[in-house]
Amino acid sequence: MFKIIASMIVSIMALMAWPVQAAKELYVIEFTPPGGNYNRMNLALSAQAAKRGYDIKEVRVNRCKGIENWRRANSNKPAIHAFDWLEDAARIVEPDNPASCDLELTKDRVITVNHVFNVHFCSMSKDKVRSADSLFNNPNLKVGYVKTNAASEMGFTSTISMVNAKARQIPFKGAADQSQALLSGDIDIGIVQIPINFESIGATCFAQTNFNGIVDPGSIDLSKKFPSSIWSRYGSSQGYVGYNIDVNEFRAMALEASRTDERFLQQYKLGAAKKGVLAGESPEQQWTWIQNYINNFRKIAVEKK
Amino acid sequence: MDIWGIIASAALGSVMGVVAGLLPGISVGKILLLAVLLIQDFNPVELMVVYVSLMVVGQYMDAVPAIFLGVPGETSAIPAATESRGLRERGLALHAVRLTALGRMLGSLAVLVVTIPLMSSMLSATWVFSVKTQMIVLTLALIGIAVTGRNTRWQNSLLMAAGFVLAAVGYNFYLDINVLTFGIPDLYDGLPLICVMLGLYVTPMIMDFRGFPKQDLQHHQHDQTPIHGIKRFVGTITGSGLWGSLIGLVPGVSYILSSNMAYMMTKRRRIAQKQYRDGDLHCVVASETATNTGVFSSLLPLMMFGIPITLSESIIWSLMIENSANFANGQFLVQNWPVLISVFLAVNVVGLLLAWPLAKPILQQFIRVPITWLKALTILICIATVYQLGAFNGVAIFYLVCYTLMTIVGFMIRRFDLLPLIFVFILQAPIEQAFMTAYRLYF
Repeated sequence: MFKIIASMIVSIMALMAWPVQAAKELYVIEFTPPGGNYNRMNLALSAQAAKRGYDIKEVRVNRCKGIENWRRANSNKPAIHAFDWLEDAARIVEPDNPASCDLELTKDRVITVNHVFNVHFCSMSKDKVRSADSLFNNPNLKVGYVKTNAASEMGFTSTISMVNAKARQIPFKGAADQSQALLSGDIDIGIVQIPINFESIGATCFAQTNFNGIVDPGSIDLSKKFPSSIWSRYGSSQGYVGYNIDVNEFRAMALEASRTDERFLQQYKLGAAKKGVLAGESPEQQWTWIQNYINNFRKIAVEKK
Repeated sequence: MDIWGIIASAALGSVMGVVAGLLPGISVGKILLLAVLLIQDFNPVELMVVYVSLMVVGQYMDAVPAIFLGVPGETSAIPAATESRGLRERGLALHAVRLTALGRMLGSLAVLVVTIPLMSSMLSATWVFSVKTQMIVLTLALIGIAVTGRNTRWQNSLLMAAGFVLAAVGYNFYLDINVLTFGIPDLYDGLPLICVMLGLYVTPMIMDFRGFPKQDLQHHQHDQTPIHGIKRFVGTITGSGLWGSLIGLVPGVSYILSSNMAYMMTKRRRIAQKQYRDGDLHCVVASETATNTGVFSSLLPLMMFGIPITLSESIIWSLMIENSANFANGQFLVQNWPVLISVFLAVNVVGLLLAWPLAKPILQQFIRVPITWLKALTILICIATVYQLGAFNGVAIFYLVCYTLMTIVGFMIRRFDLLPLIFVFILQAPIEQAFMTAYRLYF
């Protein structure tokens, strides 16, 4: 009788304990629509985490502000998400903007900085020399850019002003809108981070900023033309952030995903250059780099005020 | 080229189209997002085939819930939903579904006959993307809305202004200010279209739903096919088809504008001829035909130039770009047009063959349900749609609150024709974009 009761107690305790052992839960926060870069990056890291026994729970929120709100309500839950440091810079540029988010990022919450995109100047003109000349000297130049948040607008408009202070700057909501304007001739030049978006419609990308020391062959290196401007080395950078997790474990997973996962490798086909963890930098070096990146925006924001 | 890959892609797209068309709230864009993982490794031609099949079959099936229940799955089906009550009361609902399917097919054939010889010269027609062209078309659309419908012009103008203000709620991209957000973070992205459309317009109509008269099925049994009566609609189909294909090129609103403009123009003509009555078949056929030809036109910029002009096209375009599609100098269309045109024709036949026989059993099921239950079921579908889309965006409660408030307002002002308000709500973003971009370019 005692054995039966004891075995029942043990069984019940085991059953109660089982979900705790298996519940190595991990919340993966999606803050942009499925199908984009962030979604693919999240899926790549989720796949690695699932292999290591994590129970993946997808959380869908709206924009970066949604991450902040979710985090406040779930401060103890283990969570990860792909991220662009431009989102963090937006808070510095416009702290009162309701879309700006404060994720209280610290070194321990940065899993990796992965890759960077330069800013490319593209034109439908076949004549690269004429385009370049037009880029720097034409007082009636119309240049389009995609505005995603306050920081991206500051980055793009400052970069345009650097190369041609008299150019008209035309904001667009997305790459597709900008492509239409470029194709119809409404704008002379479009600037973009993923050049394949414009190259696929027959545009030529002929000049670019130098964010990571890598410039496409044949393209004008703006960091040489404007060496004193921080915007000649401007771009965007993507990586991973995590909360209540073992950062070292996830850093190893991110590295593995970046080497093997097709979804991740897609980034390089689109023109991303390896940075941070993929370039062999230590967590400290990556954190310093992020601080410098955001500080650039802080300085300019102060100057503009 | 792998012919089986093309057939499989067309079949997959058609199945997705049936789901998107029959289930309100599951839009083409939404189903594409859900299927991204499934299709992301398809080659560019297969991706385009999936998209063409999804769009075409989806539009054929979309008429079924719009006409039978008055619930439009997509904004392009709003005119059909508007006429649905009259169609049901006159026992013409089934007839209308089949007639519009036939109209779509004929309209698509007409637009193909006109477009194919012009394709090479269309490659240089990049002016259609110009902000000036967009401003002209949108201004004409606004004038069209103001002078159409059963409201007075003053009432239309006020409703249009209300639609503009409602759509302006949220963060203004061009002015960098928040408009009427009252410090509520969820309003930053504006009022959701689905809540405004279902709450303000559709739900009050459902409350007035008086069910299906028995003669709907009987009517159709006597009049076995609308084919013999199609002659009366040839003018409507041809005119709205060609008009719809032109308007379908307008970025941002494309076939939604085609459908609504064709509806308004036909309604205006029918009223002037003193032939219009609620549940007007000509109006429904015109809007549905224009939707299909507008869909075809909306595909042209994507196939010719690699320019997506609708949200759902942006999704498929980004997948195609990632899979090395090259649109420079019209290469993609030049290399693949025989396949794409064949698929377009084939899926039109599939859409017709699906819509025609499926409509009757679906209607039979609806007729069996008591009217009170049917109303409750339809409103439940609206609520589920709103909740589901809200949950997808992480703001389900906000969506439900918006829907409830809009339903209350919609019920209070239901004696007016609210189509101008809804239409301007949809057009506000492209109007603002065209005018603000023009201002920055030229002033």
